[in-house]
Formats: sequence, C-alpha cells, structure tokens
Amino acid sequence: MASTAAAAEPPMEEQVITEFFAKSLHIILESRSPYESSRNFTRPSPPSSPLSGSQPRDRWFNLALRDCPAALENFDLWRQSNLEPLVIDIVLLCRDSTSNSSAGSGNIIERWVIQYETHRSGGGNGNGSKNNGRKSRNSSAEDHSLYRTTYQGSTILLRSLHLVVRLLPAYSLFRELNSSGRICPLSLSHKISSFVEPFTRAEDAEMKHYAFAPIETLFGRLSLSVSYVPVLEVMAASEPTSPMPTEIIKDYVGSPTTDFLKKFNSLPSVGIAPACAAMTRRHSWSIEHGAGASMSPSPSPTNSEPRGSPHPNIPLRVSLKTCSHPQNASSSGQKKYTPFEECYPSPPLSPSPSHSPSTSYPRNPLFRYESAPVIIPKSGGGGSGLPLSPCSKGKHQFSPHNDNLAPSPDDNSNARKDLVRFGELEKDKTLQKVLSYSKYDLGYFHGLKLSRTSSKLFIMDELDEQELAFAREDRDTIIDQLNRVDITDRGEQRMNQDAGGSSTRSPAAAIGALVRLLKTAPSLREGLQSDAAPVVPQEPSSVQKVVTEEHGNTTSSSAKARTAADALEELKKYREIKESLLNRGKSQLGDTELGETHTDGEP
Amino acid sequence: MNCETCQLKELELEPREIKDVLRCILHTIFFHRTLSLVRPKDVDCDFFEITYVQCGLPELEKEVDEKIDQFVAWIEKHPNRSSQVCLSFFDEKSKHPSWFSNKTERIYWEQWFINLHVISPKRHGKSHSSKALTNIGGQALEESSSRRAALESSIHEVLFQIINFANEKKDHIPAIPDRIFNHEISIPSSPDSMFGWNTDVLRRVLNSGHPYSL
Repeated sequence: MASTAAAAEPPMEEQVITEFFAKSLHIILESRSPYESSRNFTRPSPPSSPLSGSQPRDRWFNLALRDCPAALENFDLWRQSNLEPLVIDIVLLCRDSTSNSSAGSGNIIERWVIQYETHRSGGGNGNGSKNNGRKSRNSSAEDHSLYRTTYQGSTILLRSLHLVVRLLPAYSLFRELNSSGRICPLSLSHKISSFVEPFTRAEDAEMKHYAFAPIETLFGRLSLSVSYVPVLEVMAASEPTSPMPTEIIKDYVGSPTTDFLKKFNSLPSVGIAPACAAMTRRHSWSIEHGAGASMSPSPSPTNSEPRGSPHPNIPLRVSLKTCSHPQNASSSGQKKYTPFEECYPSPPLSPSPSHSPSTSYPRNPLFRYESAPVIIPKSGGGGSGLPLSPCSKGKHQFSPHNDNLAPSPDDNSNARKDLVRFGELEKDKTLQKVLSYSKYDLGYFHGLKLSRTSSKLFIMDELDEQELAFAREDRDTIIDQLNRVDITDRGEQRMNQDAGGSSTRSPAAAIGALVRLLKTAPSLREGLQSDAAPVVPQEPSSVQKVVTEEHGNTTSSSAKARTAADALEELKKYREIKESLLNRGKSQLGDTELGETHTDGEP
Repeated sequence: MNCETCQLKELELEPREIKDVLRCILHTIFFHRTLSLVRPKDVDCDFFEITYVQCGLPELEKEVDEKIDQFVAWIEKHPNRSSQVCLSFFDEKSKHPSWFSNKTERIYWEQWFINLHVISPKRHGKSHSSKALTNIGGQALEESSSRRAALESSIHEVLFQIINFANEKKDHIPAIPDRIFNHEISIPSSPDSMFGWNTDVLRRVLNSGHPYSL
C-alpha cells in the first residue's frame, strides 16, 4: 500500500507484497520477541473451525497467528516502500559485561532479510520479459493466474518460514529465556531496519545462510533469507529445560498396568481398608491440631521441612500428616497441607528396581518431606531391618523398597488413588473384586492359611505366627467391613494393636502392618462417614512409627532414579487425586473433624 | 497435470522413534500443503529437540496417528528392513469409465516418499541377529545418544528437504480449496507385494498413470 516504486504491480499484487512483509515480520517476532510467543497461547475458537474468530490479517495467506501488536501496530505507517528491504536482526543481549563483544549492542544471532526486487530496470531475466510480454498483451486472465501463483507461493513460503523459525537454534534459546522464571543475564532483542548493515568478516564467517526459494510476481520477485549463528554457545550455560527423552512409566502408581493397583482392585474390601488409615490419619491430625496432647507441637509440613531431619519425632509427624492429608483436605486443616501433597515425589510402589538406590531426593526441596522420616527408624526397634524385607526381592511388583514405602505418604497417595478407583468401581464391581482377590489369596478367604499376602509383597511363610494371626485378623476386619462399615473402629483398633506388635518383632511383621495400612487407607472415608464418634485408638503410634521408618527408607531409595519429568508426571497425578478427594471429602467434613479430636491422646 | 514426487532421505531409527519421526515429517508436509486457513500449532518431538508445526486440525492429527499405528504394527512383524510411507495428494474427477476404474478417478499431483530403515532397538547397525545383547553399560548409552543426535540432525535435513521441495515445486498445485487437499497416506501392508505395497496402492498407481519411482 505504501509502495511507490512498485507501482507497476497491480493493486492486488501490491497488497500481497505488503502483507507478505507484514506477515513475515509477524512470524519472526512471534518466535523471537519475548512474550509474544504463540506457544502458550490458546485461541478461543476451536481449531476445527479455523475461520471463527480470525482477524482480518489472519486471512492473509490463510495463516492465523497470534496478535503481535508491538511489531505490527505501525507497520503500514513506517514502511515507506515495498522496494525497501525489511531487515530484522535478532540480537542476543548479555547484561553480563564479560561476553559482550560489541559494546552494549549485543551479538546478532540471526538476520532475516525480506526483499522485493523488480525486474523493471534491467528487464533482464526470462521471467521479467515474459511477464512484460504478458503485460503488454494486457491479459487480465494471465495476470490473475500469476497473481494466484504469487499468492499461493507466498502462502507456502510463509508456512516454511513459520517452521524454519522454530528449527533454528535461536528458537531454543528464545523458549529457554521465555519459559524460565529466573532472572537471566541473557535476553533477546530485535532490530528492524530497511538496509542491510554488512557483517564483519568474523561475524560473516561464523554464520550460516539459508535462502528460501523466491516467489515470482508480475514484475519482480519476493525473496526471503536468513543468516544465523549455527551454534549458540550460551545455551550450554543455561539450565536444561528442554525435554529430556521422556519415557512412559508404565508401572507408576496410578497406572492400570501396575500390579499394585491390581492388587487393590482385587481387594474384596473396598471400603474396609481405609478404616485403619483413617485412624492413623485422624491420629496424626490430632497431633497437629490437638490440644498439645503428647508430642511437641508438631510443625505443619511446611514448617517442618527445614528442620525435619534432626528430630526423630518430627519426621514421624510429617509422614503422618502426609497420611492424614486426605482427611485434612476435608477439614479445616486442608490448606496447610495442600502444598505438601503435591510434593509426593514418586510412585511409591513402582516396581522398577532402578528407583531403589537413591538416598535422598535430588534438588527439589519439596521432596525433603519424603526423606525426613528416614531418620525415624530409631524409634522403632526393627527399623533398620524393615527396608530389606527378605522375600520381596524376587517379587516384581514390590521390590524391597516398595514394601517399605507402603505406609509412607506415597502409600497414602496410593491409598487415595485406590480410593478414587474404588469409588468408581465400588458399586458394581465389589463382587468381581472378591473373586479376583480370591485368585491371588486363596488362603485369606478360606481362613485356612496364608500362602501369600494379597499384595504379593512377600511370601507369607516368612512371617511368624503372630503375623499370620494379625494378617488373619486384618482379613477378618476387612471382611467385616465389607458387611458392616459401622464396626470399623473396632477393627482398626485391633489392627493397630497388631501392627504395634509387629513393628518391634521383625521386618516382615512391619511390612505386614504396612500392607495392611495400605489396604485400609482408602476406606478411611467410609469409616468416617459411619462413625461420628469413633473410638480413640490407643496403639496406633507404633504403627505410625513403622510406617514412617519404612517410608523413609523407601522414599529415599526410590528417589534417585527419578527424573524431573517423572516427578512432574506424578505431581499431576497426585493433584488430580487430591482434587477428587477434596470434592468427596467435603460432604464428610463434620464427621472427620469429630473423629480427629478424639485421637489427641497419642503417646 | 504432472505428478511431482519427492524422495526424502532415508532415516535409520528404532521402532519406538517411529511415531515421533513420522508425525514430525507427515505434519510438516501437511502444513506445507494445507493452503486453506490454518492455525499453526507447535509440537515438540518426544525424543528429539525439534519443534515442528501442525495445522491444528484434529481430524488430520487423528488420521496421521492411525496410519502411524498401522505402520508400527506392520513394522513389528517385519523388523530390520527399509520401508516406505507415501503421502499422496490428488484431485478427484469423475471421468469416463475405463475398463478397470471406477467412476471417479484420482489424479495424483504430488507424492512424498518417506523412507525409513527401522533397526533393532538393542543394537544399532544392521544386525540380523534376533538375540541382540542387552546393552546397559555406559558405552551403550553413549552410543545410543550419539545415534539419536545423528538421527535428529537427519530429521533436520529431511525437514529442510521438505521445505525446499514445497517451495520450489508448486506450479502443479491445484487452486487453493477451502479445506485440506485430498490425500492418502499409504503404508506397506502386505508382505506378498513388492516392497510391501499393497495391491490397492498399485492399482491406484496404475489408474492414475503415475508410476512410483521405486
């Protein structure tokens, strides 16, 4: 529109050329100028109806882009002529004086040159003369055909530009700078001019060049080229936020393929299991909010984090709190724990052995919660032995550390997951579960003998008589709960007692307790629902200790092999679970609070 | 109308990378040949540090994914060999019936051949032993990362090949429709036909009068 020298082009062609310049500028700056990225931009209109909500400029070349006002606001005004080249320099600015070569101006890492050249003066090349010939014949049909070709060519070229802009190394840098919240000494800037300032010889030698195939117009040609620095060394210094080779974790806790879940699904006592967990949660919660019953005022998870390790009791509480989270979510204490919940670092029961060796979570401070309980083992006599349960080794679903993990916050998360799943399946699948359960644990149902635990964590013959008894009792409780949810408290109590006993006896016993906790955790809610005034459990503390011990060991071991991507995935899962639990827990709020107040008297 | 063909550079890749690579390439071609209004959608490759652009058409994404799944299934049955995926664009015209064509005839105006050599995941190189050793050591990891880096650079080359071809050869493209051009994605499907091409494809090739340049 502003062009004067290219007046020979028909107005339509003129318009195409002008819009081509504008669109090119838009595309380039969208992926080079901070905060103008379309990456995270979600359009209001669904992609299936691309025409809806499109702006006038989107229709040019059928390429809908995000608004890029900074670049285009006055484009039509400051563009003097289409004959002027449009030169866009992408400049890397270093606030750090050390790496600044050309004082203050930064380094040009990309130069885009968009140019329209006419054939008029020379009339030289074949195309020009051909076009002139056509022009002389004044054939509007041919002109229109050429216009169509020009427009189509521009459309394709702009798509290529859109892609190339993302393939060049500066794009990674751009994303890096745009995505990282931290203050970075580097920044990208751009300079738009209408003349090509020659590079120095050194700069030129450093750069690579790429020229797109030009587009023939009626009286000239449109060309687009880029010079770029092929390797941006600055990128090496930046923290790698680029996608690591992501691998699907098939065995993570929530995965349907996980055996652990399978076990839960097969549990006959969908509603039962939570009873015990409910108690421990209540208990821990009471520690937090109770009238200073026994222990030192337990810090909220957030508070305890920095000093979690030095005091054995604190970690214990932390883990308990984690366990109690679901309940807290439904109670007033919910907010405090929210951040904590999201910290669950990993699928606790992931079978992959690679997770075991680590001793602490890398980097992420949030994970310290998990590791804090590690110290606790002292409190429980059998703590040291717990992590290495003898039989778990051979089992795929539960590696030793996995067993230990069970009662930990992770365990809790598992329980919650199960809870969610149970909630979905509860109504119609209970029977199926019972049946499938029997497939795994024949002994339990018939009360004859325990060849395996339901979780397949370990072989039962490694358990002593008492443990077996406990297990049976546990089963009984579970079955009872299936039928009568209201009696769960008694069952809980019994189970807790058992668990307390087992914690001091042998690692296997502790594991048994953990397993039971796992199973019982989900049904907490049911227990809460049914009993408004639950019996105060007297011996849960030992169970809790066991839990924390094992938890500590397992979490630390499983942490190492995890990547940030894994953790992110898990966090998402946990968040979903948390939300579902929160929703479900709201209705039970009153009941849970009542129950919690009773548990204050923990030793 | 002549049919332009583009043979893309062969990529040597592992089965698990097929999806990533084929998505990237197919969508890049579609992006360059979908001249109706699109809202570009950036997509990051899973295995490579490459961002490509999709048209933002869910139906197309679904179609591509389905075809890729079929191809992956075929590859599982025919490991360690070179194979081809062909993306063809055509016009459909109702024409005079000939002795073995239907009422409508497909006039192919462009074909893209994506050449892949799927290698055994355990050991790269053209290993024919089915019992490849499981490499867990650091050396294997190093090899695999260097192999992936090489593949990434090859994908870059292929993408630029697409860009160059798409911009250089465009006179044959029909008028811009208000939707995506007619197209088909052909994958090898039958072991008994030449190069795995199924007879359906061969028949269409014969019909269209554009022999595949194999």
